[in-house]
Amino acid sequence: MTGFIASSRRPSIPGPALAAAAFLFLPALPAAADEAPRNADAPAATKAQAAGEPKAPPNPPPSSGRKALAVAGSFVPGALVHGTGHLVLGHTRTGLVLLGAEGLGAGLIVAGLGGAAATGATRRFIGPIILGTVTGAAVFFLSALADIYGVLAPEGGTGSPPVSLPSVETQLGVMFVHDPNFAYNAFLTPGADLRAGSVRLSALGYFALDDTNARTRISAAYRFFGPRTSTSERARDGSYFDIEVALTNHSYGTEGFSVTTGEVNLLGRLDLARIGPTLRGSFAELGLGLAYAAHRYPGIGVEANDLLTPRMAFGMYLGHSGYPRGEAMAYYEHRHDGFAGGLKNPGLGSGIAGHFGAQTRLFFSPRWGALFDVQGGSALVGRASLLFRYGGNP
Amino acid sequence: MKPIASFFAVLLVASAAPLFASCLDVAEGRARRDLDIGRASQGAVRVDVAEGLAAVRRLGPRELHLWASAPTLSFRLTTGAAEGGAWDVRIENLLPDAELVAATKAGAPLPVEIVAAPFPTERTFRLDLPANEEITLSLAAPDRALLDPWRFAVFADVQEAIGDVQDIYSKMNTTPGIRFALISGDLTAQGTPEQLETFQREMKTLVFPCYATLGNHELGTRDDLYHEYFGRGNYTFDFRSVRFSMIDSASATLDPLVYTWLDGWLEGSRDRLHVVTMHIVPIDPVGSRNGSFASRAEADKLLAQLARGGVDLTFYGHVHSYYAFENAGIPAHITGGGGAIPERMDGIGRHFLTVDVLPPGRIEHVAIVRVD
Repeated sequence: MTGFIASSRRPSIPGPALAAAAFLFLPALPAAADEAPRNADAPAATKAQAAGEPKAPPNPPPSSGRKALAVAGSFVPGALVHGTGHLVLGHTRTGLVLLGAEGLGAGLIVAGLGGAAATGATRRFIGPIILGTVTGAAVFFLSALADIYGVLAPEGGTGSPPVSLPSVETQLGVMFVHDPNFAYNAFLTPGADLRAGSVRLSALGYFALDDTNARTRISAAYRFFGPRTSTSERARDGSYFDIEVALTNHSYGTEGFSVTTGEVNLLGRLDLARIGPTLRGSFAELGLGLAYAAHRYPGIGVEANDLLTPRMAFGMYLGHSGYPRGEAMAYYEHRHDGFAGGLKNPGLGSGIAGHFGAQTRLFFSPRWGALFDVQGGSALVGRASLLFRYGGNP
Repeated sequence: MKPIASFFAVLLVASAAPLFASCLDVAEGRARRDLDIGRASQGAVRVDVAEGLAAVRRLGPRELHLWASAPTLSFRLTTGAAEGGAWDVRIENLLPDAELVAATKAGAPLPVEIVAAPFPTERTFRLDLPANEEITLSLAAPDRALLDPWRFAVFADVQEAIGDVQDIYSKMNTTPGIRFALISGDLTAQGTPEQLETFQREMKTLVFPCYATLGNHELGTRDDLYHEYFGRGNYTFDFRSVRFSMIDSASATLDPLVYTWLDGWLEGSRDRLHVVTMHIVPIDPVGSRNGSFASRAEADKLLAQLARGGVDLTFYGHVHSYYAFENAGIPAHITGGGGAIPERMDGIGRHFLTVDVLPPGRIEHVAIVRVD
């Protein structure tokens, strides 16, 4: 999974994530001359000058006409040929990396769908096939979004990542759920994250205010690399790679059943500035995981079932310094449990896809912030929480 | 923080565009259409099939054409001022030994004559009906309440293999004792009118009727075409001490209306066996594949409801193999062996199931019959 980060301390990662990782390692290589950062203080430019290398002619700022053409190109034909915007803008290497990502993603999707068709979605291989397909879809769609971001982003990007994290972060919020098949609507959502070095412990609850529905999730994660609490070594950027275990209990009192789910996830974020300077301020996430759920029907018994929990996201940091500052992302989660479930569509394909969402975290001061999250699947879910953090200086 | 230009907000919203594609009421139109099945009128002539258990294929001058969804039908025909005389009532998909009985509103019996029987499951009845009268007609087989052991069959997922479906039908016809078959969806590849007609035409070789609900492949063209040919997607009927409930789960969900209908159907079946059939299984026994409901929560809600309602047996399709398992303690069978792309490496292949019922309260045996 995700190890789509370029780092010498990167752990080896099995499975389809290796393919994604292979492509994403490329960006860690030094940028070519035509990729000179637009910021004079950027590390790549500084290093080149310090080494006394021949100074590459700085990229002149693109004309407004060329920039407009790049923006248009990132949509058409960029929707089909990812990286077009960057190629038009003259950032050839970034454009080619994005184009390569599209090819890799498309290849994984075709292989996955072809594999599913050829094997009749056999129980023996369907897990790896789905994980490979979702990974392919992640690489495919994120490369398109990255191209659009890169040609639209202001100089230096939309924001900078936090390179350290608070040791305590709490949240208290409300959530609204509209599911035509369930009576509940309003929830109270308290939660907390505790971090020490590379370890995080989290708890998040969803307690219905108008029903007997209650969901609690506790998780523990270990960060192999990336931002940690401020007592730890400062991270290079916002990229990280975590392993997470979680236990969730969801009780549906009105409907008379409950589900307890144990899961293991590998979660990674790559700051896309590693691909090219135009992508500074944006990031991509990929998560792959497995879960095992025990479905309890009172008076009947317990039945077990498994599910896959892959996830992908594209986002951007908001703000470089001072406040407000945070990040926003759009994401897809393949899982079909929880409040949002999977997507329903008219026609043939209902039930296959998971749910989509968008999330914004914004801090208005070093301590106080807000989280907004919306999801669309079998239900529409909206959540707003007040955030408080303490410890460290994120 | 630098001001975030509006195009970034647009970019983020565009990224989340699929969020807004989520459609929560994908099955609502079909559930509402179920309520119209079995009703038709032309001028003063009206027909109303009880519980919507037949699709009205044609209501013309002194002519009625029905496709039966259940072994027993009850319907009213109002003739109007100008439509008295000899009527032809053509019924397809009926039990070969079913008899049609007609009476006036006052209870006076009317003679019924069979004028055509081109296939084992099709009859055209001729009745001499008075004008301006409401005629009550009932179609039933003599054994409808018999408590002797009997057998039915279940199959699904023919799809593009319609050209080879006669292999299955031949095997079914030579399997002794099958009274009728249930089809748990995916009769066709795309649900086009031509494919729906072809499926009905191929069924003519069977010596017993098939009662169906739709699968996701019937939604490939328009989601209401199936109803024109086969009738309701959600319905229930009783036969020989067993209640059968056919449920439309073709969109990997049930419409909220169906949950309320199901409550009534479950409540009315406490004293008898209850078999529930739908296309998409609430929870795929291979969970990572998720060939099942879009929402696990909804799946559990449905299963808990079925278990509380005392359902004895569930049948599904959609997955092109055979699985026997339990859901919420209810014995469950996925039988997707109608010929569509098979699940490989499972050693199953084309097949159908036979179910032996031992009235009044026991399912004696569910057996897989291999075709290949």
